[in-house]
Amino acid sequence: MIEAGIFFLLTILFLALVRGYRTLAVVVFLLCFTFILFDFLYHATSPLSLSL
Amino acid sequence: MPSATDHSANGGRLGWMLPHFFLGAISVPLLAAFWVEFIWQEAPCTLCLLQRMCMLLAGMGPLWILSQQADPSRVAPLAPLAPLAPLALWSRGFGISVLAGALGLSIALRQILLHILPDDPGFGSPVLGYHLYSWAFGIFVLVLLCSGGCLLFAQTLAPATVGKKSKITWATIGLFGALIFANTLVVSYKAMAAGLAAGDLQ
Repeated sequence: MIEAGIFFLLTILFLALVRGYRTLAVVVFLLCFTFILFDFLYHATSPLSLSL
Repeated sequence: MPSATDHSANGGRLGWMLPHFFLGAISVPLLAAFWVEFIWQEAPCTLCLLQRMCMLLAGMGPLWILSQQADPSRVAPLAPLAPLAPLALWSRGFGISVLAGALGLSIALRQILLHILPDDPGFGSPVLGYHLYSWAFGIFVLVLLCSGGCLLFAQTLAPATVGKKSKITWATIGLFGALIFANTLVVSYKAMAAGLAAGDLQ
């Protein structure tokens, strides 16, 4: 579910860039980056990752 | 009146072409990922999705440059900010790509290390002899190298563009936007379907 949320944020980032909302774009970019990083860290430290 | 190809002040045509090429090149593996998902019927894992997100995020750098190249008619009326200087625009765009590329490289490396033991078949089918995460690792290395090179020669390459965007620019942005929308739709649909299926099982 978190992945769907991040893709939704990426969509907002794309629209913000195309429409010229730079401040919003920077905020959403940082949010995307943070969520991807934490999702990765969660996955990397989760025991479930051993099942891959 | 400057035209769409009036980029001679600083970077010339190379500075105009590089973001287009970067954005177009990053769209190819994203299209290939759809091919593997829908034609080969291989659903992506979480790490695959995270790498896909990082590729999209890396593409936001050149998209930033292309969409923000001063075209006053396309800037939203509520956007209070003046256009960025070409060098600042160029640096910020490829800075975004460096951050996204470094994160994607870490994720791809993590997935490679998960399958590095001898006799491990790897995750999914290999494409041209390499698994998708190995390809992703190479792609992120290229993203970092290209972004680093563009930042290194930013003073020379940054185009001082004023004018309307060409059809090529809109086509490149449109393809990339379609990929983002398609990914969002597919992943959201699967998440909702999984949620409904879990609800039915209770």
